[in-house]
Amino acid sequence: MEKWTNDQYYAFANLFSRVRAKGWGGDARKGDGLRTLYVAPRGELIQPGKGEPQAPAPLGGEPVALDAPGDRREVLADWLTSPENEAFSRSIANRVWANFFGRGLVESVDDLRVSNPASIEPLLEELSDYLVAQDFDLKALMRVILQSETYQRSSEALSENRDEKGFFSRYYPRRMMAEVLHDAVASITGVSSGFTEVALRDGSVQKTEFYPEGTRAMALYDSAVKSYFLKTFGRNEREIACEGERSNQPSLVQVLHLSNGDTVNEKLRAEGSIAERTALQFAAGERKAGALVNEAYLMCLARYPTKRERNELVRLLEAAKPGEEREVVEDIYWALMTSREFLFQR
Amino acid sequence: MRSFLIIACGIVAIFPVESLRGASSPSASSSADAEKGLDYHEDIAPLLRQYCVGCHNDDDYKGDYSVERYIDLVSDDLGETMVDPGDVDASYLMRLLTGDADDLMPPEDEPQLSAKEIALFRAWIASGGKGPAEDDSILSTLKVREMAPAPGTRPITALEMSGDGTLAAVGRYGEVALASVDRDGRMEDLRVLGAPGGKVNAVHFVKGARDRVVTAGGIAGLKGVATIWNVATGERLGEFGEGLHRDVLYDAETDPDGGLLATVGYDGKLVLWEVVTGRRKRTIEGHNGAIFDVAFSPDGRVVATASADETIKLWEVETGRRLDTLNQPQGEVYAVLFSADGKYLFGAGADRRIRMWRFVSAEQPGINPVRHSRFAHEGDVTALELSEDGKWLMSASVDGVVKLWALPALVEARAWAGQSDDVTSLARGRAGLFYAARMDGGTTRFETAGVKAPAATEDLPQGDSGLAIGALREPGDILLLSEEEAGDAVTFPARISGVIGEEGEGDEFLFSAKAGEPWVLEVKGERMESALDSKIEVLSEDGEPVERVRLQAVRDSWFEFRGKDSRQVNDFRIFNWREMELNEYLYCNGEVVRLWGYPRGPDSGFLVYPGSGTRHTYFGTTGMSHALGQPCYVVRPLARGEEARPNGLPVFTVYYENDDDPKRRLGKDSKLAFVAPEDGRYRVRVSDVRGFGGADYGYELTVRVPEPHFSARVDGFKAMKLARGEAREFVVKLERFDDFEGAVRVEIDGLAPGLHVTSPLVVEAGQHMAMGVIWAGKNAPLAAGDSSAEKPTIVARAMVGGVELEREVAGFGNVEVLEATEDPFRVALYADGESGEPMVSEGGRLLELTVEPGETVTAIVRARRGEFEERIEFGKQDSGRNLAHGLIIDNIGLNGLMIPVGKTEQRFFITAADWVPESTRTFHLRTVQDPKVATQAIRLKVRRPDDQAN
Repeated sequence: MEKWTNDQYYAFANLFSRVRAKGWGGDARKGDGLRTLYVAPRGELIQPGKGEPQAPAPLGGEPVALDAPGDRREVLADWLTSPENEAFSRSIANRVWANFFGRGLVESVDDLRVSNPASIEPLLEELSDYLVAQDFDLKALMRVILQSETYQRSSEALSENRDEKGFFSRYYPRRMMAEVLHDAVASITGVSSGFTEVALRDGSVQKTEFYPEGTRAMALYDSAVKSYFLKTFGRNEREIACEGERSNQPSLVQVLHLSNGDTVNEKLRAEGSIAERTALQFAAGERKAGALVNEAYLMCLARYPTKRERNELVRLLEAAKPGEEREVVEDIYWALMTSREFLFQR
Repeated sequence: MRSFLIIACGIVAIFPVESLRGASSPSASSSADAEKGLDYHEDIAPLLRQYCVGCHNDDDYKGDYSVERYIDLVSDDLGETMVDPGDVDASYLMRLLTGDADDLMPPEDEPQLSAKEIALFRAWIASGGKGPAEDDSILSTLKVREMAPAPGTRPITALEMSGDGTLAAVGRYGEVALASVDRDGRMEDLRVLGAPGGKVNAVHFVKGARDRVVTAGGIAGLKGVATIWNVATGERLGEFGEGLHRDVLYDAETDPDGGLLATVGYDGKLVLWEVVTGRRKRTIEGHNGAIFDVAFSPDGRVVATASADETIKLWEVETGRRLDTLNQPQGEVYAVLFSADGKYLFGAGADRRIRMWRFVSAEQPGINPVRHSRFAHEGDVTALELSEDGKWLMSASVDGVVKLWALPALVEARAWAGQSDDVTSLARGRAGLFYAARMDGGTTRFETAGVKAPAATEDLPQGDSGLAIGALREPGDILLLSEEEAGDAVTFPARISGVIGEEGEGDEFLFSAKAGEPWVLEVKGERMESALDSKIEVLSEDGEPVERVRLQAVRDSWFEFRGKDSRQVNDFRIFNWREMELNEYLYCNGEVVRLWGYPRGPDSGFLVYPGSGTRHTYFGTTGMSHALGQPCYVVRPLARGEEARPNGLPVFTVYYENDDDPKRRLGKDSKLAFVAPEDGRYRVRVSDVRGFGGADYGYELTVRVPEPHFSARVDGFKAMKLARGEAREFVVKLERFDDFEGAVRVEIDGLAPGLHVTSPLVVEAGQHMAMGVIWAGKNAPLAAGDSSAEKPTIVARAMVGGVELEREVAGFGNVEVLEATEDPFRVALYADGESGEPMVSEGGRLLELTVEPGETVTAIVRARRGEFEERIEFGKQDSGRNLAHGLIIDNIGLNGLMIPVGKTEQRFFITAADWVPESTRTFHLRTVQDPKVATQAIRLKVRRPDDQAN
């Protein structure tokens, strides 16, 4: 349910009525994909049932005269980012919020409509107003959110708020999204993935040299880049214009891939990985077992190990036969990177 | 259907009786009640109606149990004593209600009886559980609060005149009355004929009778009843429907003999009754919604029903089988009727359109083609009626307008606005009179006398150029100028070289032209490797666009399934295509194309002109890409100054401008035909359509006198090897220039002896191809191609502007005649039916096949397979060769016309659209895979039946 009327729908659509194209017809399976786009000086979208066009208008914005010269899309672009357009500032504020909390004040973040209100309306309004007041400075908004007590809350549930899911009385734990998780593993191990292949829609695979060695998954601009890891952890396939396309659903495949798959294990085994480096240092006596364990915890979990954790792992390391140090180091990193503490933001 | 409108005001609030009782006696379950004994009708039936009978009725019979009648309620058929009078504990019903049994009734997720209500049941059983005196179904009565109707108005819900127009039957709530009609058509109330209970939604005189009237009505939610009345005495001669129709009837009509009665109503059933015996002949179910109207065909063999499920269905009276579903309407259908001659069928309703179908499925199931579909009213169409002479159709709408339509063109002839309330019914009176009856109780009389039928303006417009070719003009010398030399004013013909040097720039040249003077404007850009994507316009002297034509939309549609690129001719899948006709113009977001070939089957779309290659555009518009879902419209060009007839659809203005050559020969270069609308000065403007510019955006603008002409070539062979007795196809392809649209005749002479060819061939006006066959006789002299001394001559001729234009046709190679193999592969055409004779005799005599416009003929293609064992394919959309425009090979599947593996023959169908003019052409088939052979050609004639000859 939405408050927009059919009239407003056609007024909005009429903003695009003069955009014309020659060449390709838009069918993904046919043609060369090349089209010439231009803006015609005339032309209207007729509203069915009325037999005439609506004066073009952004949703909730002022209409433009039908005979007004110029590209109507510019009117739309101006309105989109105008401070008066609450829909824009609310949407952005909500998305930034959702980025840090795993859940929007309006959920889903692309489902903004009158019949899907924010869980805390005054908060969203405040954030939206603040964004406008800061001249749409996203960093300013992020700073406010990150400095908030709300963001810094523990994810430990109390019996009173265990079932609470929309009012941010505690932090809701969530798995890192596919790209972040991938980049975390690459960053810890010091071994990057090569993004060298693009999977086309017809099922074929093409080589690409577009992404230099060391490119982070976050920096991929094309969801067609082949990566089993990203696919498994629910990368947004970008086939439809909907945020719900990204999946954060846990699956058995994800568990198996982390434990036995080639991403974590291969990176640890790779030449120059953190496991190799620290194991060599340890074997050569350049680094103590305790320091190695400390580093592993700091790298993976951003904290020091507890005394028990540390003692246990130090004991394992020191019991390693000569030549087997690396295997033990790999196991330590493997255990840390497949732990819930690593996988989840809490 | 007459008065479905009453539905809205006919829904009477139904209150459970106890709530009314509750108001008067607050202690409903007091012991006082138990003492005086509870009444089954007053106390128990309302509860059964509210909680039980929805499932446990005689129709649904859930759990093999019905509570409709007392006798069933208390029966112990289920193996349990449902009600043991006087003994509450022994009554299974009580245990069901309280959940003490294994089952709970009503089921858990249904509304439950209150404790008070259960107590009522208990008290009733305890007090003896007595039944009613008359054990009628509890669904046959409703307890409703009496509500006084609003004073003053008595809506007329149905009206009909007797055949002689002297007597009117008037339906109102609860009554049917008679009125006399005087010589001038004035109605005067006579008397009330009778009082059928409930509403009267339709009233009709029994066909061919003045002494009997049938009414249809009943009570919403309860029953539908049709009654036949004796006009003289008011006696009820028969009642139909009760117990079978569980809801109100909207119509009841007798067949032409008066022997059968058809009843329809809210329950979606069509029931046929024998009038004399009152016996039900047949119940026909098939609609997914209420049926508002029913009509018999004039011969009484087919009955049509109009339904809320947005269809009209046709049923065979004798067998009850469905003959067709007319699914074009896009809203509830409120009215349906047949023309008196049985040739047409009309329907109208909530989609505001009137449709006229050709009625062809009288004997066999078949598709009844839509003849016309007209946007008729600004609101739902509520009633239709035909004049006695069949020349007029009357329509009424909730928009308060009554309209008169001229037939058979279905063109609006007159509109009367301002009806003071919704029209429920239209009735035909005597001598060209019509009556409209309204909800406010009034009637209005209309006269058709003196109304003139407007000229049918739906004739297919010819040509699009507006280039009045007339006498050819001298081309004159073309002046060569630079942009600077041309300056601001220039005299044509001329060729101007220039550059669009800046972004957004447009070069303008002023020139003078006399009214009606045609010019052709061409820009050369891409063809000389300029970066320019040129656009050309003709503007008025002060820079305003000049109107070329206005196009009125007559049908709205949109692109289905997938988008279109800007070049393709095929697969125009557009919504509601069945209501479109070949040669109609289709306006798509600024581009105008023209429909050339029908979609073949469910997985295809229209072909647009020219039918193959790259699509043509019309009125100077430019080929564009079209998005899935984009609106498009069938449009009709309006003559200059012609008023657009209001139809709720837009009128588009096309100006003199072009981006890419409409005939698509010049790539991105522009071409425009301009005819000055009046004496004056105009501006030619050249620019880049994207608004680009720069040093490498050069162009040459040529403005010249039109030179209508054509060129032709033969496709198919350069050098051909032909075995004796074998036939092959060749194709003549035509290019048309400067809006030359006439027919071209191609003659072939000088073939070696023993060779035969179809000659002359005619490329029809507006078309671009003709196909012929060449075949070698059985005894044709063997000859090597290169030794053939004489080459055949092919000449194409046409009249252009009163002068015959002759063109040599190239591409016809030499023919080498070979000995036939022992068992050659051949295909041939045979007549369908008894004789089954070959259509081409040994002597090469051509047999004839004749098809009427709007009809289908059959023929057979037979193969002598020789060593060829695979499927023999004759093509798909293009399988019929050299067919006149508007003729198709019909009923072919996704694989096209073919002879399957293991078979040697195939029957096929040739269908002619009903607008196709008379013609005589040769026709053949050819295989599309190797070996590519053709049948010999036969002669295919299109002839109108004598009585329709033009």
